[in-house]
Amino acid sequence: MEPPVNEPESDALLIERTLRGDRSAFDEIIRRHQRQAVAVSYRLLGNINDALEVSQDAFLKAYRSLNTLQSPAAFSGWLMRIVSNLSLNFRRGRKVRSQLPLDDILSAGEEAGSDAAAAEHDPARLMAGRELGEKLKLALAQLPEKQRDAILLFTVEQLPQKQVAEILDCSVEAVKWHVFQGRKKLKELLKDVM
Amino acid sequence: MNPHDLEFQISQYVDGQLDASAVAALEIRLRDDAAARSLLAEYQQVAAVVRGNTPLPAINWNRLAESISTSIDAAEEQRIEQRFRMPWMQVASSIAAVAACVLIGLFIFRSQEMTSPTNSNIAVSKPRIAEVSLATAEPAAGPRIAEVTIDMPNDDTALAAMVWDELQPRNTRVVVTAGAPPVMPDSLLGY
Repeated sequence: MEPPVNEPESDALLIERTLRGDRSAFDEIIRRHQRQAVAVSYRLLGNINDALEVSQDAFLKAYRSLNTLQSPAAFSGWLMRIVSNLSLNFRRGRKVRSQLPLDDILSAGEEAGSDAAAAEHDPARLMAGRELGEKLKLALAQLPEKQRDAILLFTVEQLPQKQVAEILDCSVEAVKWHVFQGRKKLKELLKDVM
Repeated sequence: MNPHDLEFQISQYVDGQLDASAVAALEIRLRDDAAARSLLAEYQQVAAVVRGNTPLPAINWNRLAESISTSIDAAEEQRIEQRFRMPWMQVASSIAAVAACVLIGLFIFRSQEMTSPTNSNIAVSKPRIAEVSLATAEPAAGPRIAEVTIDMPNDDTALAAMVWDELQPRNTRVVVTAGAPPVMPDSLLGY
């Protein structure tokens, strides 16, 4: 008879272990949530170096305030609020700082997606993709901040609209409106390349 | 439904954010309205372009996790050390703060005294070397002693004492006078 497959521990159990003094349990929490933390921060700051620093600070803050978390099962949303608050504060008083060993952490190039992998076999498609990417970057920069944030957090990072609303300090209806207005403007700005 | 509302609905439809009845109504509209279908295609394309062309920079996640973990350990160790040092630091910083206030107060007080004339004849606010002469009665083989007359405005004897401490190791005899100084060339103001 085969032994039962070990299911990963829930966030709630890991948090309970952390609060009892098991430091390695929080390391597992870091591994689980770091990608989303960095992604949310990156979308708000637009700079990966800053996003990595802020994410590190967010995990430290979360670790220190773990005993204040009302519902351990909702750790992810709680952490994202910390990340977004720190990111928005950082954005307001923008300064560049870099204490992480970034060369080790940042790999060359960008995360591979299915489109990028396919484009490798088709140079024309790769070039067109790069041109589109550049134009999109410029177009996003022209959007008002809330529209850009709403589109990136909701459409790209696929955060729930309720969570996006908390991050942007607005209602869910406002998030829908920001996404719509942002897309409408992008449609206009990118009509030549789409 | 006006065109603007239709576009808004289509944007939400792309995101799967419409309730069931709104979806049903919109799909009927889309079936019969080519312009609405064209609009839907445009919004779907924008959503796909944004999703597919905003990648996250590639990151070594293992290294990042290690780095975050290490930084937490370091921060916690530092916090424990600070807690241990805190009582001593509080006492030391309190004493330093009081001393700094006293020094700043003295400095301001002296500055005000030196810049506010008590005698209309006194035009300068700092001590001036009124006369420098070598004492001729001293034996040539011994150390030569210079006599320095320093005129202290307002007879600031405390400041004179400080100047005396400065000049004493340099084999000088200091004579301090008070009152309006004679006009001397600046080249003698060597301190």
